[in-house]
Amino acid sequence: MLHLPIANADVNGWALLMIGFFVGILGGFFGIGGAFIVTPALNIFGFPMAFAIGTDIAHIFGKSIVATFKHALLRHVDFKLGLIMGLLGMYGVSLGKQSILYLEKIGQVGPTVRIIYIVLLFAVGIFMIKDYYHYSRLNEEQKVNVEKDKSKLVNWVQGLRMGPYISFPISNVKAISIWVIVFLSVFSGFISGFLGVGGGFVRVPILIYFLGLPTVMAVGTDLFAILITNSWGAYIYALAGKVEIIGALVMLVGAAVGAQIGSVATAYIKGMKIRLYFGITLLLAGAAVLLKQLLLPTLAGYLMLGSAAVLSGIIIYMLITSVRARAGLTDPADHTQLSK
Amino acid sequence: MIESINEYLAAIYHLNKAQYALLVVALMSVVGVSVGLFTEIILRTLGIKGEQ
Repeated sequence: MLHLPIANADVNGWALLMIGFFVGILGGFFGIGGAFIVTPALNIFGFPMAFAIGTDIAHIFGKSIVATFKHALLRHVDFKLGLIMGLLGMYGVSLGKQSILYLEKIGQVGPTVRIIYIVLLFAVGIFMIKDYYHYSRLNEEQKVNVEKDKSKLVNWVQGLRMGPYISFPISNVKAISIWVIVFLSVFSGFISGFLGVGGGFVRVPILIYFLGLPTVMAVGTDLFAILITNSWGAYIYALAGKVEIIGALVMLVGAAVGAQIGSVATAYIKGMKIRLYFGITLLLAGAAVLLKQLLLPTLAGYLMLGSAAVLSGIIIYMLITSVRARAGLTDPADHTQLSK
Repeated sequence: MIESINEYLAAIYHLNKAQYALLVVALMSVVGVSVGLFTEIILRTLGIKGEQ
């Protein structure tokens, strides 16, 4: 058992290491911080809520450095777009917090936040699974170009004529209205501040479906935005004395290993497959929040933790199979079948 | 050993909160990068590079 002096709590060090590892894999693979998994899990394992949030943010900061670095090596990061989204997102976070304070004043904060959270998780999750379903019905030729072809929504967003304009050549986004970028960045930050989460689960779909980024670029760019916002978050939570360094470091050791595995897996597994598992993760997170709303917080925490462990196992399995297939150790046809 | 580190950290926190906050950010960066690099070496040894 680890004694945490500032929170004055005792927690199991191995449990922290494993949480970090599982969420690290998901973080590197999906481009999320994983606060919606870690915070309730830490709370179950004995952290007071405020310390659970602060310690989680600190470890996400360390993990996002590792994951961003790996994605940058794989050329999956648009630093210009990530920087703008991260910085403007901070303004959105403060707007979200102000809305929370207003709702708190009128006594509606708890139910409103949870209902919006549940609707958002289920809506985005179902949309992404549906997107994969349509993809799975395409023929092989269409599947090759599916991520290159821009959707009607992307063409409409990129075609809005409201100057000045900005380009992101790395993401292949040419002359888009700067107001679109400002709105989407502030909006994702607002959701993040309003729901008290990192915002990766909103930002990744926004980058894919509104700006037309390939899935792996959206994941890498979002991780860079998370790095920026969480560096500040880690500092202010530590300043308020809500970060347990030892607890955060133990989780970070597991998370840094997991983030490397999750990040490298994006180079071997098709983008559409990532979208499918991302959608499933969001649905499971939605179910966990629903359980919390039904006053079953422990069950919700274990559901999230169990789901994280199973999804991490699937990602490791897909990585190993793909690496073996690429190395010619197994029949390449199996690999094609698996990656569909 | 953990106890003495804990006492040291608690003392830093009570002495200077800004210093404690900077220590948190610096430690997370250093440990994250170190473990990340170590894992990168292990993965490359196993032939899992990712770059094509």
